[in-house]
Amino acid sequence: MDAALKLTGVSRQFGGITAVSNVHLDLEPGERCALLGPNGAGKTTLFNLIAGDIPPSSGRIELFGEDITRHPVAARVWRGLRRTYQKSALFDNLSVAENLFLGALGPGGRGHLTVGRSLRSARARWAQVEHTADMVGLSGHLTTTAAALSHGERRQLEIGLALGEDARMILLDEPAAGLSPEERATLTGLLSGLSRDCSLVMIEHDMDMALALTERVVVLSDGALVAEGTPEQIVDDPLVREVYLGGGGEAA
Amino acid sequence: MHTEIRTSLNERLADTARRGNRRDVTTAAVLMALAVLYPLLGTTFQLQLLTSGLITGMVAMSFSLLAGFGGMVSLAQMAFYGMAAYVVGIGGHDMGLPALLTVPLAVLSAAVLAGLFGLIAVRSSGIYFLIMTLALLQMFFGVAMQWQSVTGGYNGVAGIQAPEVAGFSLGDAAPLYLVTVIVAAASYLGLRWLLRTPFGLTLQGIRDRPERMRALGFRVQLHRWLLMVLSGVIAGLAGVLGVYYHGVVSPDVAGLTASLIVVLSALVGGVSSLVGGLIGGILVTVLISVVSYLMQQWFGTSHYWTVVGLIFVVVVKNFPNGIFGVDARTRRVLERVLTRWTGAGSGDGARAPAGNGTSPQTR
Repeated sequence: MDAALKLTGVSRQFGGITAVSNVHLDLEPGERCALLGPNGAGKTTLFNLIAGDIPPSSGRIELFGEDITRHPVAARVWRGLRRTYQKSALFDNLSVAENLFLGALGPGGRGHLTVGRSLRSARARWAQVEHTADMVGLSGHLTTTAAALSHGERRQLEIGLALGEDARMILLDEPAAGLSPEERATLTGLLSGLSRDCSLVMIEHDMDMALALTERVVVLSDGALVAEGTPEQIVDDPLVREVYLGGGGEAA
Repeated sequence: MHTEIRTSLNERLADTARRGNRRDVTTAAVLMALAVLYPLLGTTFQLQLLTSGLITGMVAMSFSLLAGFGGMVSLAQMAFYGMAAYVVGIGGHDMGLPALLTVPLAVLSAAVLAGLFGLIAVRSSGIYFLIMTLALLQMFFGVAMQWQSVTGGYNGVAGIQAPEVAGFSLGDAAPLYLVTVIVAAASYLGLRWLLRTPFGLTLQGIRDRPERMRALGFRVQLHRWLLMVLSGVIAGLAGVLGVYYHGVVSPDVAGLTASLIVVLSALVGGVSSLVGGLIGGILVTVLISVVSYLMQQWFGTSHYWTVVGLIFVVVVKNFPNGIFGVDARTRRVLERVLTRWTGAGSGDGARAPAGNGTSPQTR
């Protein structure tokens, strides 16, 4: 079976600075992977490369066995790739239901127009909206505008936007950023409940959360992949302690 | 529990839509009845003024469509208007083609021109988009001015005969007024319907967060381009009516003054609503006419722009969302006044304000 995501020697330079350097990665379908690393390690840049916001300087990106290195953003989305943002990028003027509707409408086709076609399928999309709202715990807020949600609910909606029914690989950029411990617990529950049909790659600074949700951890430092293993291996790795945990810090 | 929420959501959505629709249909029916019956009361001059205002209003509506729903501030709308006007003028007057052929061709040409402009312009955004459309407007002006053998150069095409509809000549004030009312209303209703479909929701998403929409798999530029073509069609329809109204078309239709009147109309009406464009067009046209008349009477001068400009400053300063997108503060004041006038118990004036006036409402 093809890897869900395969990175081969992916690098990206900005002028003289190497943000991502020769990264190799192989993810199985359904796998959960945490991407760790100190600030400025190139985690979000790597996400931007995978999502297609910026092209890599060199290397090859494959999604489910297909080379998508030169594909535009939308073409990757049609192939099942989704992402969330570190800073919630919601449609503040629209209701939760309308936000999720856009999330459900966008991915379901290839270069479709939203005229006509989506009018016929609108009913099915609304059903999907309610399903997604249920999954992210927002079914009680469907008619609330996104701007009126609490920070925690906004993070839940941020994830909801990425949960189309044909999502097969979701990149989560610090899903728990700025959340209280209770909100973190809600979010951890939500993420662990996601279908295994879908792979997850997660940037997360909260080690407890990252380690609880994933079976593989990849550590980036200065753009390079410096360690890879199960959560247990990573926590015990002296090199990782040095670059990320700041020496003898107790992580787990 | 899930099913319960589902039925209540669906019911609530359907209920709101039904209630909104019933109210809108009543308002629209009353307005249309008034507009259609107006020729019985009004003078020819008033009808002409209203016709001219509605035509400007349609172009302003096409401007608001782009600005309010696509986040694209376009100065090129009068080029699409001019394109349609020239096609009717050249085709009908110079080549003697029937209106049945020139009118569809004119609207199509305006759409094609908007499509061509759009290919270039939708790649930029913000101030760059504005400058780009200004450049394209100037290009159109230049071609109209200098391609003398076809466009007639500075003088343009004159003596354009309006066709007959059901035995009435559109050269007469009342028939042209009625046709204009119908075309403007149909354009407005069509756009309003379209903006309430998923396509409209998509456009709002693209206006607010284009990068997120891209990350959700939408073809952002394609949607922008389509909106541009659509605005070209509306401006083109206005151009057809405009050329029959004036009987002439010259490069001035795509001049800066004409384009600014459109922008001002849209601003006065409020770019966040479509009907604001129509109302703004009428208001600005009437205002210019009244002010220039009074200046002529009182001071014997035709320098009305200074006064009109001052009025715009006041309007824009006090109604930043246009008189139709009245902001929450003004709305509260209005409501308090209305409540006092109608008595505290009437309830109508005390109704909670809907929306905050900043987000486009599809009305």
